[in-house]
Order: sequence, then structure tokens, then C-alpha cells
Amino acid sequence: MNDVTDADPPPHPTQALDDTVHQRHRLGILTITAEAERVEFTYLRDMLHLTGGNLSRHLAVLEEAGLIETTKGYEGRRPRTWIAITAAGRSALAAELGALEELVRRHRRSTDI
Amino acid sequence: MAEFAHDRETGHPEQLLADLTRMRGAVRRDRQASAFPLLLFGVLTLASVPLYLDPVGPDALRASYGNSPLAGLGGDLLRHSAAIGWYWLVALIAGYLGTLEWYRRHALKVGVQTRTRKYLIAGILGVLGGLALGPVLNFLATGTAATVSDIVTSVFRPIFALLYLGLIPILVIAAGLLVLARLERSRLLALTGGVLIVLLALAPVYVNTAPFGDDFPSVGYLPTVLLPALVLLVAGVVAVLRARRARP
Repeated sequence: MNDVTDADPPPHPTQALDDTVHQRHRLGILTITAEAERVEFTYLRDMLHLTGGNLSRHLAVLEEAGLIETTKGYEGRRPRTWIAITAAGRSALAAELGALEELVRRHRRSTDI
Repeated sequence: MAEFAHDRETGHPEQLLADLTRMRGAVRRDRQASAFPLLLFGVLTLASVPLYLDPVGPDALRASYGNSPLAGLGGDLLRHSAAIGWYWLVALIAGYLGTLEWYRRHALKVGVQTRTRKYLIAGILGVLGGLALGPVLNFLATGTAATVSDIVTSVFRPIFALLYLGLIPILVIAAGLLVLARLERSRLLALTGGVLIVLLALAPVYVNTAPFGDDFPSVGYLPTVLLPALVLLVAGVVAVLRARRARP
């Protein structure tokens, strides 16, 4: 009997990268929102050095994918938009970070040889 | 605020992970607002100190005051137990609600909100638990079979001591700070909560071994609340200084 199994090799970590999440600004949005209950639009805009329009487009992609939720309201006369990460967003972020870490590990192993 | 390396498109994963870690740290710094609860509970604890003036030492036999259950946080040993109980009931509720309001305002100012639900739960459980602790432990210690009573008395001896000395409210504050430390990822809050618990553990030892003999001074119990108040105030000042230093 042949001891060697014909099992497929483990998939390369890049296959675990999700295009929706992997874009660096969207990854930044998820990372920031994962650290708080909710985050204001202007805080994200300043932190990521994006224009309002650009940030809105990234938020729309993430919201469409069900990874964040936005709430619009007023604080006094000032309009506020708050962004909160969803459970699916947390899972997607954890998977993305896991894949990135695995990539780094592989890269280190390959350069050590 | 930390800068996100926006000028580098999909860079090396290691660099990207480092950027994200730096960003996470910046968000944590921005949402930290622990100076207020530390100073608020420090002032509330300091204000309670006169209530702990009592010229009768712990060895004196005292009849139960039969205080209202709502004043249970004050214990049943000190002369002003009822006043201590009522004071802390109001002070703890005000302190917890004040802290929650402070975090809400801080979120509006900075743009990033800390999750405070667990802190609110800690406050509710702390106050209700503190009120229920006396009746429950007293029932278990006196109204049950001798073996149960003996076990409860020996296992919960430190809690009984804190209960009688009216120090359960400090324990409720310490528990809240530890929950807040977890939510804020703050070492200062964790350290402060830890120091308060150590002081509480030492309080009954101090009261029972203080070298006052038969002349127990009226200020004899004060260190049990004065030291926690000072710890909270010093930690609050440190938090203010750190927040000022972190401000761009």
C-alpha cells in the first residue's frame, strides 16, 4: 500500500484574502471600527487621510457586503454619521489578518532557507 | 492620530500589519478618557471619609442597628453605618452614571466611542450585589445548618469584614475600574483597581491589629477609606497628565 497520500497541498494564504477587505483603506476602516463601539465619519476621514467622497465610496462597498453599519443622526444642529463594524465584519477582518500573518510567516521561512 | 501609510499601495504584508497595529494603538489612545472616573470616584471616596469617624474600636460589642436594606452598603458595625450606606448608594449610582455620560461626551468630542455596556452592567451588578450581600451572607451564616454556617463564615470572612466596615462600595468601584481597564485596554486603570483590592484586603488586618489598645481614636477607621481615595486621586492626576502629553 502506498503511504503517500494524494491530498492537495494547503492553499496559498493569498487565496484567503478577500478583495473587499484587502484594499488597504477598507482594511483600515475595519481595523479602526473593530477597536470601538462606533466611529464618526470625520474621525475615519482624518485618520485615513481620505477625502469625504473617497471614504463614502469605501464605506458603501463595506456596507453593501454587510461588514459595517452606518447610522446618521444629529447632535444638536451638527449632522453626524457613525460607523460600526458588524459580526461579519469582525470575522472578515480576523480572516484577513490571519491570512496576512500567514503570508509573513511563509515569506520569513522562504528567506531563511 | 496615527498616520496610515496611504501613499504606499498594497505594500509588504509585514508593513501593512505594522501600520494596522499602530492605527489600533492610536484609536485606543484617542478613546481613553479614564481621568474623569478616577477623579470622580476619588472625590466621592474622599467626601465619605467624615462618615467613618467612630471612637469605638472593632472589639466593642454592638447591637445591630437594623438599618434599612437600601443602606446595606454601609454595613452594620460603624456608628454612621446607615449614613455610609445611603451615601454610597447615591454616590455609586451618580459615579457610574456620571462616568457613562462622560464617555458619551468624550465620544462626541473625539469621534470614537468606547463600548461601555459592560461597565454599566458591572455598576448595576455591583450596587445590587453589594446590597444583597449582607442579607444573603447573614442568612447563610446564621439561618442554615451548622456545617454550612461554618463554611460560609470561614470562606467569606474577608467579605464579612469589608461588609461590616462599610467598604463594599470601594470593592464595587475597583470592580468597575477593572472592567473599564479591559474595555479601554488601560494599564493605569488595571493597576489602580488592583491596588484598591490590595488595600481592601489589608483593611481588616489593619483594623484588627492597629495598636490603639482600649483607646481607639475616632480617626481609627479613616485610613480604610482615605488611602483608596488618595490612590484614585493620584491615578486621576496621572491620567490627566498622560492625556495632556498625548494631545497633539
